[in-house]
Parts: sequence; C-alpha cells; structure tokens
Amino acid sequence: MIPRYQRIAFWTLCACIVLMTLFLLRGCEQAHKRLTAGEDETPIAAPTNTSTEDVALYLASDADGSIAAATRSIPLPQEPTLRARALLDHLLAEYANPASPHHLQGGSAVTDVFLLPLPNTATPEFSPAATQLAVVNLSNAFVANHPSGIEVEELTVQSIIGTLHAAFPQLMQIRFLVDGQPHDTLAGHADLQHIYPAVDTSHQPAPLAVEQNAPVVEKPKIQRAPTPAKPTTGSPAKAHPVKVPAAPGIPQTGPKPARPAPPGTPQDKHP
Amino acid sequence: MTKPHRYPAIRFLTLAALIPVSAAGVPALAQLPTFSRNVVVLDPAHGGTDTGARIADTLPEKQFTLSFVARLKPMLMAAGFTVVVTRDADPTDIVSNDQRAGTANHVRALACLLVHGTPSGSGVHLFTSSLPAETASPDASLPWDSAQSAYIPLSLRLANELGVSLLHANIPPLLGTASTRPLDNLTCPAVALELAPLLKANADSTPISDDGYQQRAAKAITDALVSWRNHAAPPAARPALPKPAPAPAVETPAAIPGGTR
Repeated sequence: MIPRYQRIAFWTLCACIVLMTLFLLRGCEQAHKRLTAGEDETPIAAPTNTSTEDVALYLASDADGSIAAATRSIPLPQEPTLRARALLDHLLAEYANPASPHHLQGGSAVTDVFLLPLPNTATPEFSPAATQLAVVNLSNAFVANHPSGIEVEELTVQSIIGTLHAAFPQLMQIRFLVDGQPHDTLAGHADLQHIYPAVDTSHQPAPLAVEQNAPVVEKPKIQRAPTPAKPTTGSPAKAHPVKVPAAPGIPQTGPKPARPAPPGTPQDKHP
Repeated sequence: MTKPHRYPAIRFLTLAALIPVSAAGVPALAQLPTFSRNVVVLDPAHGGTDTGARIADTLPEKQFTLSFVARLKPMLMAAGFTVVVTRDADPTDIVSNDQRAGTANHVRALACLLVHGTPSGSGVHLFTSSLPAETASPDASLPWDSAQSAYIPLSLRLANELGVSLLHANIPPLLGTASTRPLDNLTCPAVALELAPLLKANADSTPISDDGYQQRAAKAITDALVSWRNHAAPPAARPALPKPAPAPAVETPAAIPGGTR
C-alpha cells in the first residue's frame, strides 16, 4: 500500500513536468517569432535610388566569329572603377547563360578594374590627363574554366575591350592580369601579356575576297570572314578586311628554274 | 600555348642582314627579305606539358596538331615543298614560342602555318596577326615582338588564298586577326590555322578527329599553298636560248668562236 503522501508528491511532480514543458514550448515559439521577425526587418543592403541606364555590351558569337553591340538597361554605380567592374560582370553574366552563342562558365570573373592615367598621350580628342589605361584583373577561376581555342579566347578579350571602350571613351589601352599577376594567355592562346588598344571591336561577317588570279573563280557561297563595322585606327583588336590589294609578289631576283624541286633536293632560292 | 620565354638578347632581333635586295617597282614589299619558294614551315602548336585544348576525352590538342601535321606534311612534299616542322614528336619539355619562331625565321619560308585545333566553333579559322601593318625600313631592325608587322599584307593574301581553297573543298573558313604567340614574331607570311568541328544543318557535326575531314582540309591547304607559290613567288621565266647565228655564206675561221656550239 502506497502511502498517501507519496501519491500526492508523485502527482504534484507530474503536474510540474507538464507545466514546465508547456512553458518551454511557449518560450521557444516566442523566441522563433522574435528571430524571424528580426530577419525580415533587418536591412541587408543600403537602399539605392540608382536608376537604370542604357549601356552597350559587345556580345560575341562563336558561330560566325562576330561581335555585335547590344543595348542593355542596367543600374550602374557612378564611381568609375566600380562602374567598369559592374559592366564587365553584366557582360560575362550574359555569357553564363547556356543559350548564349558564346557560352562561358558562370561565377566571379572580374576581381577588380583599375583606371590609371596615361602620361604623355595627348591626342586631339582628349587631354593628356583624360587618357587612361584600364587594368582588368580577372579571377583565376574564370581563366581556369575558360574554353581553350584561338577564336573563343579572342572573342572574349575583344568583347571586354569593346564594352569598356564604349562605356569609357577616354580609355586608350587595356591590359589584363590574373589574380593580380601578369599571365601569359587566357586559356592557352590569346596573349594576355599584350597591351591592347581600346577600340571599337564590333565586326560582322564579310565576303571572302576571290582574287583575280585565285584558282577558284566562282563567288563563294559561304561568306563568313569578319570585317570591321566601322573604321578604327591601327587596331590590333579589329578584324581585318579580307579583301586585300593584289600584291605584286614576294621580291625575287634572278632567274630560277620553273619546276618545283623534289623533296630532299637543295632549295630553289629566290633569289 | 607555350610559355613565352623572353631573352633580352633576342628580343630585338637584328634582321638587317635579312633586308632584301629590292624588286624594282615594288615599294611596299621591296624591303622584305627574300624567300625560299619551296619551303613551308608547319608548327604543331602546344606539346609537352602544354596540352592545349581538350578536343575529346582522350585527345588533347597537342596530339591532334601533331597528327594533322603528320598528315599534311607528305602531301606538301608530294607537291614539291620542303617542309620544316617545329616539332615532330611530343617533347618532354615545352617548346617555347621563341624557339618556334626562331626555327621558322631561320629558313625564310614561303609560308608559315601554325596548326591549332578546337572543339568550339565551326569550320577552319584562319587568323593573321593583329599587329598593324608597317613597312620595313632597310636600315632598321625589326623588333622581335612585332616582327610580323612588315609581313601583314602577305599574310592576309595567304589567309585569303587558304580561305578560297577551303571554300572550294566545302569547308567554311572564318578569317580574323588574333594576338597569339608566336604569330607576331614570325618573319614570313604567317597564318594561324585552327580546325574546328564541321557543323552541318540537320545532321551531326563532324569532329576534327574525323579522318575524312582532316584529309579534305589537308588537301585544301596543299592546293592553297601550291596556288600561293605560283601567285606570290612565280617561277622566273627561263632565259631565252640564243638563236643560232645564220650560217655564214663563207665559213671563215674568225666566225667560229662567235657562233653556237
């Protein structure tokens, strides 16, 4: 037989347990609501009143090797270096789209963009103080994941150059770094040691020149050679016009035998 | 691409010795050095630890370029060319771009082709140097980094010749300029040739590892170089044989030395 005082103590303890459980559950609910409400109300980013503006992105296409300017309406910061970086982020984000004709892997691509004044570069258009060199610091991950090939790498470089040139007319030269260090190539082909002139790099396919003395005389059906859309000044970045003037031939002096030399024989030197 | 090695001693290669004997009436090209009209340089890009692009799971670009050059070389030799290759095997170390350019510049070739391959794009991409064309001065040295600038007009014509021949072989070419080593360092008409898959409408694309595709491309390139040789460096006409002197009516001893033998 259980004594009466023990039964009273037992049920009293059970009642306390139930009350404490209810109290803890209530406390947890209130804490959860308080934290959730705090997250919702905490401002994550400073409110901006930047309006969108129209900018030209020079978009490349692997299919025909063309680069065409496309207008996009995007918000951009006013500070030049941040503006340049945001512009390139938008450009390379377009290439991250799987449907892009020049598909690149997404992710952080441009770490920094620096705009430096160029000394002693007076031109009729710009004062010496206005001419600038842009240093584009690419991320190592972007370079490591970039597709390899002359065309695909050249299109990426020219696309960046054209976009920066359109947004910053005072730019005269552009060079590239990778993680802050000089790098030989983008992905094995495009030279990143080269200092590129900032020029308009847009170009469209143009006819292939069939010269008068060429073996094929009919007009080619497939015409994919790029040519610059507008004239640029001595630009390594532009695509060359494929129709070239007929050169009179490699200089040669003195008579030479007409027949080709068989392999392994002494060379038929000109002269 | 191989890592460029920059030797100060050869950075400004003195090419004054290569400045040519000019051809009369050719102002733009008169300053260029003379060429061996039957020599072609083929440069299989990459090699060694530089594998280049990944063409397929088991086919790196360095292996593709080597096999394509091995296919192209005998066709050119059969056409009467002497072919100089910058590498004929897969070396253990990297063949530097300066070494490749040095090999090509040494032989004064009629054409220098840098062979590349890529899994992206379509057809054959033909790139000339993006340097601005300049006229070489006979008294000046050619800077190593822009030695190709004096040869840009010839390189453009060579690229055009290759493009026309590829079109004739139903291979779409794509012409452009690029800043890639060692193209800017070459002192010969130079084109970087990049084979890409052959895309067909409503059909599977032909990969560049396809033997038939490679054979067609190699044949078109050979035809283009033969045409280029005939156009850019045509064989000089044989000197006309002296006509035999009319037989003298009266043969005298004094007339014999001046006559034909």
